[in-house]
Amino acid sequence: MTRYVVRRLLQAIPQLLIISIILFILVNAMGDPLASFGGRRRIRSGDRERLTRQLGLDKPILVQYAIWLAGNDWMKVDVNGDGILDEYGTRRGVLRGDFGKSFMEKRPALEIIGERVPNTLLLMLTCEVVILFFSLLIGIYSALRQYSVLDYVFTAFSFIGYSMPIFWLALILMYVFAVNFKRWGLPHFPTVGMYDLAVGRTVGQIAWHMVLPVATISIMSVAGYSRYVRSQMLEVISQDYIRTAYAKGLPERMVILGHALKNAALPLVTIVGMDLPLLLSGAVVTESIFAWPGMGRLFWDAARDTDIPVLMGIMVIISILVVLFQIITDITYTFLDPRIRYD
Amino acid sequence: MKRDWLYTVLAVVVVAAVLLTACQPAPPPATEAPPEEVTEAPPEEATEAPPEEATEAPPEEEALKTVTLTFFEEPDTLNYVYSGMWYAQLAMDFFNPGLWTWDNNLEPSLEMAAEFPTKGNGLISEDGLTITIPLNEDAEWSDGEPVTADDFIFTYDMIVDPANTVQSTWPYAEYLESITAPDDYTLVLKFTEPFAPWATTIFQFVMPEHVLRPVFETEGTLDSAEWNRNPTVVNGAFIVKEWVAASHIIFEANDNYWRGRPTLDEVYILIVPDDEAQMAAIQTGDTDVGIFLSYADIPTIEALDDVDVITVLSGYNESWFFNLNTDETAADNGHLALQDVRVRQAIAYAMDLDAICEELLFGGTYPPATLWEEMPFAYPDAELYKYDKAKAEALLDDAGWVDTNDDGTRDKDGVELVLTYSTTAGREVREQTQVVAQQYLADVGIGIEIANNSYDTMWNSYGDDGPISTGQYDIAEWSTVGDFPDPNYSDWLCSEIPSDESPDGENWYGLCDEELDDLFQAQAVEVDPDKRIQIFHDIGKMMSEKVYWLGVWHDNDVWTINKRTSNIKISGADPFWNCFEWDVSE
Repeated sequence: MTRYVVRRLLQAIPQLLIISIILFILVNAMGDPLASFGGRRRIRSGDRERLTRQLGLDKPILVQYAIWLAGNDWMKVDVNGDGILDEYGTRRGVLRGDFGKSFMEKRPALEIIGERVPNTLLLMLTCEVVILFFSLLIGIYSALRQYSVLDYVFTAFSFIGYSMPIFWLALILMYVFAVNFKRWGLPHFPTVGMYDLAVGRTVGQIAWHMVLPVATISIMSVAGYSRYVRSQMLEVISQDYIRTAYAKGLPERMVILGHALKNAALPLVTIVGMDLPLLLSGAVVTESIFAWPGMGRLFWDAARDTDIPVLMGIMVIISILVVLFQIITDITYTFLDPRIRYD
Repeated sequence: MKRDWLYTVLAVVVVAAVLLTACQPAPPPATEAPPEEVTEAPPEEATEAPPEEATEAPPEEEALKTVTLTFFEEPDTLNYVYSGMWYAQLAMDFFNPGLWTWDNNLEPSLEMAAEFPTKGNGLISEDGLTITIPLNEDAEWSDGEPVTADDFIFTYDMIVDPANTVQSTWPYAEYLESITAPDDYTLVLKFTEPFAPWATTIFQFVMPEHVLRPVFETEGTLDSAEWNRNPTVVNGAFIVKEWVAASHIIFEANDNYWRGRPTLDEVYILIVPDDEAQMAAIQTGDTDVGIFLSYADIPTIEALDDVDVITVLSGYNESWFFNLNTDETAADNGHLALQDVRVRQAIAYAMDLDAICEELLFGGTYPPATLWEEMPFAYPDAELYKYDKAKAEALLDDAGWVDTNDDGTRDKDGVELVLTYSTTAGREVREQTQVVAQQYLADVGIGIEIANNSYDTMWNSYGDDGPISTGQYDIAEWSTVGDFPDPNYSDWLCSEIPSDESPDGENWYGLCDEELDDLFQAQAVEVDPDKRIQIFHDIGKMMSEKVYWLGVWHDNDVWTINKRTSNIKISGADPFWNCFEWDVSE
């Protein structure tokens, strides 16, 4: 097992290098990073020329990538645009933990990303717990009570939930439970933000402000996941070993949770394993609508402004996590299915 | 009984939901301070209040007086020199005024300056090259240090120092020859040539030298200065108390503000990047001030009892620009027909712009006749091309563009009159305008091909193969403004036409009319206000008659203000110029 893990980790290095080259080329092709520097006005020609040099955008893309990767503190740079190399650069490069500074905020990209991670994890992990809980609940029930009234109801709502555009669902929830509930004199949820600024950042405030965004994301995902659990459970409960478990007198709860669910969960582990690193990327639409200060919004803002250091930072970190979680998922299989061996 | 576990879980969920609703957090402390105490203090009184009285904090038991605003975009920094973002400049109105701000009548409201320079008061030299600015001796930084001329000189030094990646060095690097301080409270600016837009472009902010010089000397740059995001030492009515990325900014009253402590205790800025969510926040009262709304929102807001909607002159005009480049070396010239003024006039007559404003913009605005609409610089007799299909057809006939092959589109010498019409993709009202324009122009035999660009590529420079800067259009639409409230525009100059040799040029219309060029150059160095107005009238006359530009709608900004607030007087140049006297009445 150890050799397998080490081999996978070594394989990941060239894999991530290739991913980073492709991402860098694609991000640079997105647009002009200076296009939004002028705000509501176009940037002046003299400023464009100067900023292009100061941000290092005047160099060929491969040189820019090399600096992004290895830094420029080993080479002299032209500071004032007179064509003479004045002093050594200050960037250390990604290989030494420097993802560069945001073009817009002039702060380290990692610092900006780090500010958003806790908010995103709070929102997305809560969502994941809610999603798994309700997916398993609905999926198992629907499988055990196939073609019952509630199974039909869950099926109908699953299809409705799955086919709703998330922005539409978010706005409907906001207008019903915040705007109209207030209009009708009922207790109402807040429209935007993480907490009421006049009250402060309390657990109650954050929980209260999380209800609508969590509901939005969860409804969409529960709809899909519950169908998946249902179909897996239906397949498993018709197996001989389940019949054997019943025959030897095990209580239903033990049969379902101890035998059927464990085997039905194997494909679900794959999906969740793939989902976990993506949790960090946040939920672009939901975070934007409910003004949740997470990674999804950061990615959206950085993409809008073609803020290359921030975009690359987010995508490279997520790439690393995806690769790592793939390895972890593969290892998890061995615990769930004794037939799988990597040695 | 097998279903018991399910019913149990469902019951728990329902009870939890009910409890969650019942346990809704307490509402924010009501702002119940008697309005009489706070609304009657005129700004003059506040200015004269002795510092000892002004620094008294409100008693703890009193509820805070707060106003909440929603920003569609988060400021990228709170240091003026590093940002061109409009929302960042809005935020800076609260804490970092420069020499003066521009009030809601677009008149200067003195802040760090003690007097506004004019030729009449002798503070502008006869040749217009030297401007002397006496500084406000009452002005202090929030830490009690005085604001002096050295702060302004330091600010200038930081702007032009190549170690700092500032957003713009204009006009300091280009026009200022020297900046000196004969004493602590006098600033003397010497220009290389007369520079007309000085009042709206020079020192709209100032940096605290005593805070930032040590940072610059230690780090060699201000790019990463903590002050850029956390400007704890400021000179405005409010101090930055907290900035939580992507969430909010909280400002608290500055006891050392030179006019005295502002009426409000705190101002909250919520970052809400979705316009529908902002509308919901306006409707629920979660925000007091809604910013940059669309004209389509006006009917909804007007139906609300507790919200006022106002439009504010911003200097912007949604405009049509024609690609008039004929240079053989240009990347992509415009359609040959556009070189004929009769064709451009025909296009103007063929468009029912009044109907577009009425139907697509809910009557919230109107077609502008000049780029300087509602300003004294607007040529008063500028011809507004009222919809006249017959006149449009006659002009096209006269210009030799007729439909010889009966395909519904006019042609001449084998060239079809089909124009490429480009704007930013995704903005609904622009795309609706394109469809309507396509129909109007088809009615007079002009074909339109729509070729839109995403927002992030539309403004790419010539060097980056930008679709507009390289002339890949015949008609392009966007909203434009000069150095508002100054009327200066630099993008109509012949020297600004982009090319391989000058890839950063701003004249993306490819227009080089020598007479117009002379006028634009003349206004830029004319420091006599009356003479400058006359030059702009001549410019407006020429641009109108020759249809170098066509205004589609006058693009004022739409704001909402909750009626629980008072004294909020929005200015198009410095929207929150009077934040020191904002108040809440309930």
